[in-house]
Amino acid sequence: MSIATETLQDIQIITLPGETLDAGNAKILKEELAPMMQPGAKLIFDLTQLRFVDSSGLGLLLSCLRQVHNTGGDLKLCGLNKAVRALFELVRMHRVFEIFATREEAKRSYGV
Amino acid sequence: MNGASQLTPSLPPTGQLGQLRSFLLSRAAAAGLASQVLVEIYPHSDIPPGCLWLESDGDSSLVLQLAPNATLPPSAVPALASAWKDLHEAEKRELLLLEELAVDWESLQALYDLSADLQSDLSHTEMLRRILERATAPVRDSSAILLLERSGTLVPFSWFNTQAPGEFSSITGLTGRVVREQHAIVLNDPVRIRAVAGLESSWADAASVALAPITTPQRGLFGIIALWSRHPESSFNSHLVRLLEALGQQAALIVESDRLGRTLRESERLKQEIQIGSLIQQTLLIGEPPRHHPYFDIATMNMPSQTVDGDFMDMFQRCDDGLEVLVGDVMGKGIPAALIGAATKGQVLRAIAETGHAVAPGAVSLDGIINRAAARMTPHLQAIDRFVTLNFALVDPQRNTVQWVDCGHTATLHYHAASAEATQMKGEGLPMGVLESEVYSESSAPFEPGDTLLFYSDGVTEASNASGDMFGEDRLAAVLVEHAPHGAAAVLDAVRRRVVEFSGSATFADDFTCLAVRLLPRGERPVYSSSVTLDSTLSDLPRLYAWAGTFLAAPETDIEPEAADLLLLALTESVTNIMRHGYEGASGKPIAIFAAACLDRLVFEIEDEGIPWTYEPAPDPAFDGSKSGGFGLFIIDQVMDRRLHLRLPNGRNRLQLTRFRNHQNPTENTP
Repeated sequence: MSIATETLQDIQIITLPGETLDAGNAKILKEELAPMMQPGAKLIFDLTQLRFVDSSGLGLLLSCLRQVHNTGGDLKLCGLNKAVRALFELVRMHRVFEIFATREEAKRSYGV
Repeated sequence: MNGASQLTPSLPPTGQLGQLRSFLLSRAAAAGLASQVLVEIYPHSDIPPGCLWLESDGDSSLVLQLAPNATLPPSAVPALASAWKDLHEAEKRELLLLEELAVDWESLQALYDLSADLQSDLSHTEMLRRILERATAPVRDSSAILLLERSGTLVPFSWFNTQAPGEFSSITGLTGRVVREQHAIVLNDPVRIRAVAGLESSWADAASVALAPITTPQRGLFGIIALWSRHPESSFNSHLVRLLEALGQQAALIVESDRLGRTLRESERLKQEIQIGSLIQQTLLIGEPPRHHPYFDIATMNMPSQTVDGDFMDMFQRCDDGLEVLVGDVMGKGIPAALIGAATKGQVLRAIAETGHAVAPGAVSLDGIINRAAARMTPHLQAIDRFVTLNFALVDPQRNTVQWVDCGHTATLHYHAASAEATQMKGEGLPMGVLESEVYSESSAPFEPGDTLLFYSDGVTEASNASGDMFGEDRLAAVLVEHAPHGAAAVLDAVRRRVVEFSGSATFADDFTCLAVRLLPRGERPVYSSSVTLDSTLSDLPRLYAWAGTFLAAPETDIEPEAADLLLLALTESVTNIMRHGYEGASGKPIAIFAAACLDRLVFEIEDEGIPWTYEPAPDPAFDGSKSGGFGLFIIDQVMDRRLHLRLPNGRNRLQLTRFRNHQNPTENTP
């Protein structure tokens, strides 16, 4: 999986690859994302391509969030489709993550 | 017929009661008394007057009861009583034989170690011949013979250096004396020998003769070893007698080990018989229930016991949507019972084919079918002194009725959805094979949507606990009432768990056969269904998405896209749980999924062959995001209204998930 990233000032925007983020690929993706989880990193995960996320995928996102929070960084999400949004609401994670409709809105929340 | 005549001190093993009852009825039938006697169990305090008391345990008695207006000939009562006694004695003999075998086997082991000679590959005939050879070795011009007892006489089994001898008496002569005195004798006087030997011509010209008994502690004396010499100067001393005694011991060992070997081979044969029997049972006797029937929810369970029983059951779908159910039990065990079961099933099927299809729907004559089958079976059954109990029922989903013909089978339980009660469905018929003149008639009752029939063999209700109490029909009815609303498989799973819990054992003395049929309420009848089998590897998840996507988007499934998203999520969580925990990550194992869209609900059944996973309601996950896991079960329970974990009789696990179309209720978890 190649991960597309875009850097804007000190903010890194990462497009999560593939159509699904589930038990089948969460582990691999976690390894690939590891180098980007730098202390104090300011991240945006763009989920636009994802049509489906399960609890394993959610677990991966939570682990990333905890990692950057612990080092003074931040992780914001954007581009959640209805199904993914439904998962977040079902397990109340929309109250844990900062979620934006579009990449632009997410950038603006970082003040860029 | 007044008072109680005491025959035996205790009730037979509870698992056998049904069979004993059947046995007595068959004897009663043979005496022409079938319609006049009943074998019933009553509490001690409640035995009706005029009963013949047979057996009792702590609180109840098994009695022979006269039917109203019965006119028993005076000879009948002692005849039945002695039949009862016969049966008991046969059982006792069997028990003794088993005990004896166990004891012998131990002593045999010890003796085997004594002699290296015996561990050779020689046949027992050859070994016995060598013993005789060894006996004659120290004595000049000597002969030896080994006699074994066969029905009262002593028959030569092996001999050395002599002509083929005739039989020997176990009463007279030298051999008769050894039998009487049970120890070795020796004679060194030719005149005396001829006087005592009488007709035992083998040693008529002997100068010396010695005989030693062949005995074991278990069997006593069962043979003699004899040694004699014609040499005029021979004289047998006590050393020679000791040798002969020792050789007699060895001979005893060889003969016994051969006998036990044969017994052992016989028990191997029995084991094989059980295997053949269960094969017959699986292929001929126990039918596969139709799955995902448009009107019925059907589940079956058959756990064969350590012996072969003749339990059989099958279901036939009629073209008018009716479901015919046949359950039965052959009296007796072993391959013959299994074959009789198969034959009975065959005759009922044949009668269905001949009559059933000729009549218009709604005018089906069940009793016609059974009477026809009985006419063909009864003469054969009587010829071999066997009989069959069975129940043949037809459930009609168009008219909401159940009709049945009962041939002395255990009562069927009928769960009524409207009142949440269970009642007995029983007829009056005698077992098939008891009476040639028996005419069977059918009964009928209303059978409403949600109602459930539970057919069972007596192995279920007669499963007993350590203190000898039987599981009984009341407990079975309680399980039925509790679980019937959750479907046929849930009822059988609960029956199995409760009986195992009750008896404290997962193996049963009798075959454990159950069949549950639930008439689906209109809202639960599938209008559209689909199934898929996945491999247990995570890389097969895309196939789940493709299949579920198609099912959930089908117009017949008729759900909102939002609900479809969540249902796919819950299915994925269930399947990955099985892959990770049920199969512990192993690939190449099946995960079979069935989905049905019904009027008022969606039902998903996910079956696997892995480790069963947790029944408990899931604890809430960490909603503050502090933990990455623990969401799976929570998601399933939010999306689904019901999560049932069943252990199916075929060893599979079934996760049954239900979502009502009016989904909003908090989740309900049933263990």
